[in-house]
Amino acid sequence: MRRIVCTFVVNGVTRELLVETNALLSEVLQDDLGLKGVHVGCGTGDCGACTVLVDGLPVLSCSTLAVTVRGKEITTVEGMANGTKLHPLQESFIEHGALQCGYCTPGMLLASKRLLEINPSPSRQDIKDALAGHLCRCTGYNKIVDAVMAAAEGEE
Amino acid sequence: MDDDLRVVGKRVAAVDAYQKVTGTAEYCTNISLPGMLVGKVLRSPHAHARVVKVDGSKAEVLSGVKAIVTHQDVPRKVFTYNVMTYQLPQGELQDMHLFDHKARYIGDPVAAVAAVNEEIANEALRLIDVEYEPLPAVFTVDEAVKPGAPVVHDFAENNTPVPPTPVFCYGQDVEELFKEADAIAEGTFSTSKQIQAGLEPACSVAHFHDGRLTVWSQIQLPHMARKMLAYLFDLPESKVRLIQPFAGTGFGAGTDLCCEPYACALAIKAGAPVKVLYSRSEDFANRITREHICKIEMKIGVRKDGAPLALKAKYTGDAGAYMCKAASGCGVALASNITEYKFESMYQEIEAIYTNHVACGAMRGFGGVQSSFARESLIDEVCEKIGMDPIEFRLKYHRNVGELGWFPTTQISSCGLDECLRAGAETIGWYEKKALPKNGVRRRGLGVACMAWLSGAQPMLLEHSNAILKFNEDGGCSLFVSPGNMGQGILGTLAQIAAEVLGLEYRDINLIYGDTDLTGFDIGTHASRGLYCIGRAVKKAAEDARAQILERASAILDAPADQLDIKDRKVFVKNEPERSALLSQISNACIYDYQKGCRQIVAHATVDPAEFAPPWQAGFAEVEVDTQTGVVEVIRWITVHDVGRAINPQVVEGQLEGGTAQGIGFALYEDTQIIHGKLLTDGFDKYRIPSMLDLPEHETVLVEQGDPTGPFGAKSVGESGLFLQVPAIANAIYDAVGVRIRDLPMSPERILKALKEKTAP
Amino acid sequence: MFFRALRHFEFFEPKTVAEANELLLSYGHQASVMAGGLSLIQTMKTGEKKPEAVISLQKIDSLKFIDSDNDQDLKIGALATIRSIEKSREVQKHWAVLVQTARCIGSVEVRRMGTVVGNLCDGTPASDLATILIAMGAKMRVTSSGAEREVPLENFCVGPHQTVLEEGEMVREVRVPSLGDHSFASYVNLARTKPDITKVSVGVLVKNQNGACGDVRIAVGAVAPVIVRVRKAEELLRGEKLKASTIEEAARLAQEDVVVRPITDIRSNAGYRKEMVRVLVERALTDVVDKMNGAHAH
Ligand SMILES: Cc1cc2nc3c(=O)[nH]c(=O)nc-3n(C[C@H](O)[C@H](O)[C@H](O)COP(=O)(O)OP(=O)(O)OC[C@H]3O[C@@H](n4cnc5c(N)ncnc54)[C@H](O)[C@@H]3O)c2cc1C
Ligand code: FES
Ligand code: FES
Repeated sequence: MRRIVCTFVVNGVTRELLVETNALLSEVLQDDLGLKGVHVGCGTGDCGACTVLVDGLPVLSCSTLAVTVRGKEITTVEGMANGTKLHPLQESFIEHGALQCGYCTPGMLLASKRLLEINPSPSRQDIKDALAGHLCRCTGYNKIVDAVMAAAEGEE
Repeated sequence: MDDDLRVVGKRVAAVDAYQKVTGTAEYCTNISLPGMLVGKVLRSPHAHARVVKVDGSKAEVLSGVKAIVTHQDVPRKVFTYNVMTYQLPQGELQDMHLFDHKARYIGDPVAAVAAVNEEIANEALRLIDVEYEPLPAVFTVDEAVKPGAPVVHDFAENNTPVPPTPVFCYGQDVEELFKEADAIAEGTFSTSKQIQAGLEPACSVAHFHDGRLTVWSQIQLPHMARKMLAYLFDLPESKVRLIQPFAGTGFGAGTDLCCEPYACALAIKAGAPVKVLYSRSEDFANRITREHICKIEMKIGVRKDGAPLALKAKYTGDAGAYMCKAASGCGVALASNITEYKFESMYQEIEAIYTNHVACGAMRGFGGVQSSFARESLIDEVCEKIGMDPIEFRLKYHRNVGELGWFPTTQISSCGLDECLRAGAETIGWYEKKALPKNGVRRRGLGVACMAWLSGAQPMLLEHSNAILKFNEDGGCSLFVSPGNMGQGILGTLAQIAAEVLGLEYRDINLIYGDTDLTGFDIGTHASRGLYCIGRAVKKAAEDARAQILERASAILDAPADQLDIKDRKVFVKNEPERSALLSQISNACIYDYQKGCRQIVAHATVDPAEFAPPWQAGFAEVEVDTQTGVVEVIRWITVHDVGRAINPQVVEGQLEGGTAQGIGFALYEDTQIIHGKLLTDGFDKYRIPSMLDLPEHETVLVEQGDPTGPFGAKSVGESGLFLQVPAIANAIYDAVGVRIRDLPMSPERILKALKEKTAP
Repeated sequence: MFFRALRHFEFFEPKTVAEANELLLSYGHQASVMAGGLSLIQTMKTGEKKPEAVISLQKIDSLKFIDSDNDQDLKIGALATIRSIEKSREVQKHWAVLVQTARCIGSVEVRRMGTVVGNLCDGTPASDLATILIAMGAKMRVTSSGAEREVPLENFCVGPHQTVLEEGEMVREVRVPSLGDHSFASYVNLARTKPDITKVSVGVLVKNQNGACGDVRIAVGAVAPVIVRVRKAEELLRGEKLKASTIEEAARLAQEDVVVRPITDIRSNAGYRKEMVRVLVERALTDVVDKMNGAHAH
C-alpha cells in the first residue's frame, strides 16, 4: 500500500484524507490540514516541538507515520482552548511569561496537559522529568515550570 | 525615581502571547501561500573547489520543476549576508557572490531549485550536473597564515583580511606598567563556535508579483535586509517589502541573511511564491554562527592592593569562508574590556583569518562573552595572588559614572554594580561558603564574574529608530515600530512606554510591526538596542502625541495646555481634576470636526542616540565537581543585573533566564565539532543544548537605579544574560578543585585532564 | 503533498507474526520491520535506510505484552514500549534496575513511542537497555517462517546497527531471567546532558553466594562496536568477598581489558571513555554491595 484513506479526529472534528504511507504526521497536520500550531524544530525526536496528543498521549509527530494513527483522536495546540476560553495551562503560560518566541510552546503545553491529567499536583522535579524532551532556547525553563506549577495549583 | 507609574514597571503579558498559546501565530515555517513552491539549495560537497560547470538542463525538464537558478540567473554582484554593513560609512568587508564560481566551505550554495513538492525538488537537485575542481582547503587559522596555504579569497593575502591591528588602546606603554605590577596573570583562552540554535529552522518565503518582491524573513534587521536584497536583485528599495512573521529563532542569527537570497532568486525566476526551509542539519551547517574568536591571549597586571595597571590582549577570529562579522566581533570584544575596570592602560589587537569553514556572524553577547571569559578568569587569578577577595576587588576597581565607556568618546551614565555584587554575595552566601573545606570525591566551589555592556552600538555604528503613533476615534492608538521581533518582549514594553506617557492602558496600544511597508526605518534588533533606542523614539512620539492631545483639550476645557494632565483615558486640569474630558471625546473631535478643524492625532519621532547606557551585572555560580569523572553540576546560579529600570520585570527576568541557559550551555555542553570542514554536530542530537534536567534552579535579582538617558531610566538586558556563566563557572571550578579551564566547553574530559596534570609530579 | 521528508515505500500492517514473517521473507533485504518506528524513521530520513517495504508490527496484538512473575523470566513482547516497562508494577518491584535504566533514555515521548525490542534491534553499542540486559543475561526470541530460535542478547549484535538476524527473521520477544532474592544489578552511565545518548555505561549483575560474589556479569556500553563483557574482571570477582580493594582491582582489570577499545567521537574521547570504565565499574559494584547490604538488613 502506498496510499490509505484515513480518518482522523483532529481537535474533535472528523477528517477523512487520502494519505501517502510515507507522510509523517507532522506533514499531514501542517500541509494537508493547515494547522499552524504544529511546529517542527528538529525532525529527529530531540526537541519535542512537534508534540501532539494521540488519544491523549504526547507523541512526536515528526517521527510518526500519519497512517499509523488513523482512526485516532489527535489534539494539537489549536484544540486546547474551548472556544474562546483558554485552557488553564494556556492562561498560566501567558500570565507567567512562559514563552518568548513561542516555537516550543505547543509541545510544552500539550505535554503539560497530559502530565496534569495523570499527576494533578506535580513537584518541580516531576515537571522537569515530564518535559525533559522539550527543548526551549528562549526561556531558560524557569517560567515554564512556574506556569505548570501554577496551573496545577489553580485546578485543585 | 518617580514611582507614580501606572503601566511601566508592571508585569503585563506579552502582546503576542495569546497567538502563541493558541497555535495561531504565524512563523516563516508555517506560511502557506496559494501556488507556493518548495525551494531547495544545491550545496558544495567540497570545502574548497572551483565550480567549473553547473548544468541544470536535466533537472529543468523534470515534471514539476518550476525554476532552477545558478550564477547565470542572478546579477553578479559582491555582497554580504551581514546587513549591518550599512551601519558603517565605509561598510564592512563584502566578499560574497550569489552562487559564486568557487565554493569555499562544505555547503556553499551553487544552485537552487523550485518545484511543486519536496520530492521533486530533491530529485531535481540530484539531476543538476555540477563539475567541481577540488582545491586544497584550510581549516585552522594557524594553517591558513602559513606561506603557500590554499587561498580562500584572491584579494586576501595570507588569508588575512584583517592583519593584527591595534584597536581600543589607551594610556601609556603596557609593557612598562607590567614591570611595575605586583601580580600578573596571563593565559590563552579558546571558545567553541556556538550555534544560536533557535528552535525554528531557517526559513524564508519570497514572492515576486507585479514588479514587487515580498519576502517573509526571520531577520532581526528588516530595513537593512530590504536594502541588501534590493541591491542584490537590482530593485529599488520601494519595490521590496520585507515581512517578519514571528520568529522562532534569533539570538543574533537574524543579523545575517540566510535563505532569503535563494528564496528571492527562485521566486523571481518562477513567478510564484517559493518557500525555502532548511532542515535542521542544513540550518546548523550553513547558518552563520556566533562570531568565532577562536583564540584570546590576554595578560593583566595589578598592584599589591589590587589597583589595575595594564591589560594587553590579542583576539584572533576564525572568520570562516566569508567575513560577515569576524572583525567587528573581535573589535566589540575588545571595546567591552574598557568599561569594566579602571585599568590605567590597555593595548589590544585583533586579527581575522579566512578558513574553509562556514562563516560566522553574531550571537547574543557579541564578543563580550569571550572577553568576559578571559578577563574575569584572570582577575580571579590575580586576586588569589595578592590575597584579595574577588568581590572586594570588583567593588573597589570597577569604573563608575562619568568615567570612560566602551567607545573612546563615551561616558558611563549610570552604574549599579556595587549593589549587584552585594546583593549576589548575600544571596549565595559568598563569605560563609567560601570558608568551607573542600574534600571528598565531589567538591563544591563558588565563582563570581562581572560585566558591563551597552544599550546599542552607538556611537560606533549608525543608530536610527522611528516610531509613529496614530490615534483612533476612541482614544486608542496604533504604534508603528520595527524591531526584530523574536519574542523577546520588546513589543509589549514599547507599548508600556507609550501607554505610560499617554495615560492609556497597556491594551489600548495596538502594535503594528514586522512590515517594512508599514513602519518607519529602524536599524532593528541587535547590540541590546531595542528597548533603549526604539523606546526613546516611542517615548518621544508619545510625548508629541500627548502635546497634541493637550492642545486640543485646552480648547475644550478652556485651560492652558501646560496645566493639563492625562490619566486613565481622561484629560483633566491638574488642580481641578473634576474639570475633565474623556480622551475618546478629544480624539473623536480631532477626526470628526464639523467646524473645519479636522486633524487626526498622529505623531512621529526619529531618534539616533549617542549615549550607550551600560547595563552592569554580577553573576554567581555554585558548582559541584566530581573529581573522578570530571562532571560539573551547577548547583545554583544567580544573575544580578542593573537594568536601570525594568519596564516589565517579567520580560527582563525572561531575557536573563534564557541567557543563563545559553550561557550554561556554552560553558559546559555546546560543542561545535568540525572535521575537515564537515560539521559533525549538525543536529540537536549531536549539538546538545541544556534541557530542563541540566539546569539548576536559577535566580534573577534586578537592580533598578535608573539611567538618566534611558526611557523611564531603562537600560538594556537583551544580551547580558549569557555573559557570566562561562567565567563564573570557570572560577567556581577552580575554587572547587584548583584547576583553571581555559577552553570551552568545560567538558568532563577537559576537567579530568586538567586534574591529572595538576596532580602529576 | 508539499513537504515530504521520506521516500515512497510499500507499507504493510500484518496482523500475525506468521504473516509478518512471510512478508519479510518475500521482500528480503528490501524490507524493514517497524515497531515504534522512532529509529527506523530517522534512518529513512537520513537515507541510511531506503526500504522498499516497511512492515509494521503495530497491528499484531499478540506482541503487546509484558509477562512478569518474579519466579520466572520477564518476557517483553516486541511491541512493549520502554514506557510500559517503566510503568509496570511488577517490573518496578522485581526488576527495578530496568526502570532506573529506562529513565536514562531520552524523554518520556521517546520512551512512550520506542519499544524495548526496537531499542535492542537498533543495535547501537550505546543502548542503555542493552547494556544492563546483557549483564542480566537476556535472550532474544527470534522467529522466521516456521522456525523459532533463541539468541543471547550478548551475541545478538555483530557490529554497530548490525544484528545476527537473517532475511525473514524478526524478534518476537526478549526474555530477562528473574533476579530472585540473591541477584543484584546496577546500571550507571555518563552522558553529556541528561537526555543525551550515553558516552560510557556499565551494567553489572552479581549473585550473592553466602556473602561472596557468585555468578557475576559486567557489561560495558559505548566502548567498542558492540556492547562487551569484561571477563577478566568478572573472573577476579567470582568467589570473592566484595571488599573495596577487590572492587578497585576488578575495575582496573575492566579498564585494561582488550575488549575495551573505545573511539573518539562527538560525545567523548577514547582515553576518557577507557578511564571511565574503571570509575563506573567501581561505582556499579559499590552500588551492588550497598543493595546487598540493604537486602540483608531487611
Ligand atoms: C530523541 C531520541 C533519544 C534517544 N535516547 C536514547 C537513549 O538515551 N538511550 C537509548 O538506549 N536509546 C535512545 N534512543 C533510541 C530509542 O530508544 C530507540 O529509537 C527506540 O527504542 C527504538 O524503538 P522503536 O520501537 O521505535 O524501533 P523502530 O524504529 O521501529 O526499530 C528500530 C530498528 O529495529 C528494527 N526492529 C524493530 N523491531 C524489530 C523486531 N521485532 N524484529 C526485528 N527487527 C526489529 C527496525 O527494523 C529498526 O531497524 C533515543 C531515540 C531518540 C529518537
Ligand atoms: S521536531 Fe519532532 S522532536 Fe523535534
Ligand atoms: S519560547 Fe522560544 S524555544 Fe521556547
